[in-house]
Amino acid sequence: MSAYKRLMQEYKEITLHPTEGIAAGPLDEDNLFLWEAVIMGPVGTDYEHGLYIAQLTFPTDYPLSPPKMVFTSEMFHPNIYPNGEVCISILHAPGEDPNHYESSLERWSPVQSVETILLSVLSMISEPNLDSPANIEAAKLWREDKKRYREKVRHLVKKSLELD
Amino acid sequence: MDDTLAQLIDMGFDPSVSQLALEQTNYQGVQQAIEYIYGLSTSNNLSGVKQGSTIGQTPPSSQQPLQSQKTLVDLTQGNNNSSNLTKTHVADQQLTSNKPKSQKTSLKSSIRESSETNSDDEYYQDVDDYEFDVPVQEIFTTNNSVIQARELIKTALVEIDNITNITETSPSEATLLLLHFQWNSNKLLERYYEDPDRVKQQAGVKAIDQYKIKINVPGQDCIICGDSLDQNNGSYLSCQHYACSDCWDGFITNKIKDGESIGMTCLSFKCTNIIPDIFVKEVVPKQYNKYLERLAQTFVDKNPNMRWCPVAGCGNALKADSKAETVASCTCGFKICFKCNQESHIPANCDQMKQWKKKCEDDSETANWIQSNTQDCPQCHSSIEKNGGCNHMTCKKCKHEFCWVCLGNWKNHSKCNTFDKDKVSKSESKKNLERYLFYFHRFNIHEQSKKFETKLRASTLETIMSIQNKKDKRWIDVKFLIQSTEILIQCRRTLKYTYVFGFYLPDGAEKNLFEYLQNDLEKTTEHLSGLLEKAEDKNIFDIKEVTNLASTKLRHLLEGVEEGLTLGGTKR
Repeated sequence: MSAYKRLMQEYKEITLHPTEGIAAGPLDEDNLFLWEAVIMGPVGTDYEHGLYIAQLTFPTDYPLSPPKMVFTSEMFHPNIYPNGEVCISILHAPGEDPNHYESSLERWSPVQSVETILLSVLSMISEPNLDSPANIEAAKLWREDKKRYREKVRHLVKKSLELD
Repeated sequence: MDDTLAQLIDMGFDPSVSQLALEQTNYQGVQQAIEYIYGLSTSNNLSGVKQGSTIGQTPPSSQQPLQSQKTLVDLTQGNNNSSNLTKTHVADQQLTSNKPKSQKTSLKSSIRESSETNSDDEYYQDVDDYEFDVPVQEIFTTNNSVIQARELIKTALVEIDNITNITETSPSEATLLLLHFQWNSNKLLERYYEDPDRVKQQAGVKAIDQYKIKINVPGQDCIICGDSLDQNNGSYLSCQHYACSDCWDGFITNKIKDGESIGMTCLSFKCTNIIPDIFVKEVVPKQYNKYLERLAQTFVDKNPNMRWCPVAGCGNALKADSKAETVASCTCGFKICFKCNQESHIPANCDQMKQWKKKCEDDSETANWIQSNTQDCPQCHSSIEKNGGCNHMTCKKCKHEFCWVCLGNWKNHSKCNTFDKDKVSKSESKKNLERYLFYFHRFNIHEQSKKFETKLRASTLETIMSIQNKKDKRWIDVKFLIQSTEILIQCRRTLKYTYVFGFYLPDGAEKNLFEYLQNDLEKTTEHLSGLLEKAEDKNIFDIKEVTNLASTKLRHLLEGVEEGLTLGGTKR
């Protein structure tokens, strides 16, 4: 099974049957291993109305190994590193566990796809996992000063819409 | 009178033996005393000497070692031809008729000393005639089995096979059960007979054998690549997550590469179904061996009774046969402590080793620097580094003013240039430090010697060959050199750790006794080391004797620590 074939299939699927709130596709159709994804801020959260852009880099042995996801838009979230890298258990291979808290069942499985990743990220955005923060400042604010957290996020929403 | 005694000691006789000989001969002179000593060796009247020289040496408590010696003697008797025996007698006579020359006689007297402890009369009758042909003692064999690296998989499979037969389960189920009980088959069987179903459930065994490989699954696509599964290419476990053979192959291969083995789960997200080993074998036959290697690895890793030999590149596994076992030896010669997984450190215990290691890490570097660059304030004992040329020091901490040169009070300070023998006073901390460095130094020296002597292992075989070729000796006559080397290394390792033990042993009678035994062993070990380094035809008898001596002394020391020394002093 080649990664190429599988990525092609996923591309086809996601274009023909788009899911609300997410969109994704290769940056350049000649290189199926680098995708761009757009996520709409989940309704009812502070991130609502924002549009967030991320890049997905696929390994050559995809889907045996997970892709890497990095936000190129500025993000402020407990589970997203300040450099934009997303820290979510399903993107970690079962062998590795950088934070020693994840059950191996919630890690990457070749059954996952771009679509399931993006959906997981969506739900992560609405419900951050504060046990393993990637952005300590964001986690701290979320816990201690919701008001300022909200302000920061609203500011980012405007920025993402280029209103700022 | 004292002169004659000194003379005898100079010749290499044991002080207590010499003293006794002088008493018995009414101080008539050196010659008489020597004759008396040699007379002892032929008459076997050793009771007097025994009292004099076995202070603190515990006679072997069990009959075991003696008996095994005896059988060994019998064996050699049977094997040796008569000419060989005569040869040894000639050697014996030459030795006795010669005037005592330091090494040989010291050897002889100390041998006598060592053999005195074996007061078993019957034993003496047996070995008397072959005093110089006593076989090398087998000592301190540990009760553990060694599983060679290449046998590991086989051993693990045999274990699985056993459980398969007894519990009447499939091999895959048996493997999971074993894994669940950390390869403790006794516990497994005990629990299994109480409630087989519950145990199976706990171990994650459920419908593990209901898998299908490479069959037609019409109407289904591979959940990974989406290929249709109607080409005899569909495989799945009881959870019915369908995937094509290629995807399973890639998935399992990847997992094995990541170090997973038995217990890996289905490729679907959050599915806990365990992939049985037969499935692995049939889907990825090329990787199966690696899978088994990993399985054997968990066999050792998870088994509380097993340890890897820590020597780089050895790969053997050691299995303690009983729970009480604390020391295990590998066929490569390494001995480990089963409790702390480090090199065997008798007579020191694990706690002492932990403390010692921490101390070495904390202290050695800084301690050396402090010792060479600072002095302690004579009043408050803080370490002071001098930062200027003036020797009038004022302690920053306690404001005490003193002279850097003589450490005396600066007020009414005079006669700094006169050496006062009595006034070599040292502060407590410095004394402690020096004490530590003393022990550390010796610990280190024995470690280094051990490293060199470990290399002797390789050269011993060559030596044996060359002696055999040159002197027409038989293998059986020289093979003990291998044992000698092992005993040397063993003595060396023990000596190394006696300094840890000694460091934590409080002063007192026990310590004196311990140091006496330690010193004894140290001397013999050096002697043996010297002999083995230039082993040749001429000195093989010496080597044999000193080897026996060394092993006796080693046993005395260890038994002493085990039985006597511990009663009033350190905790073990």
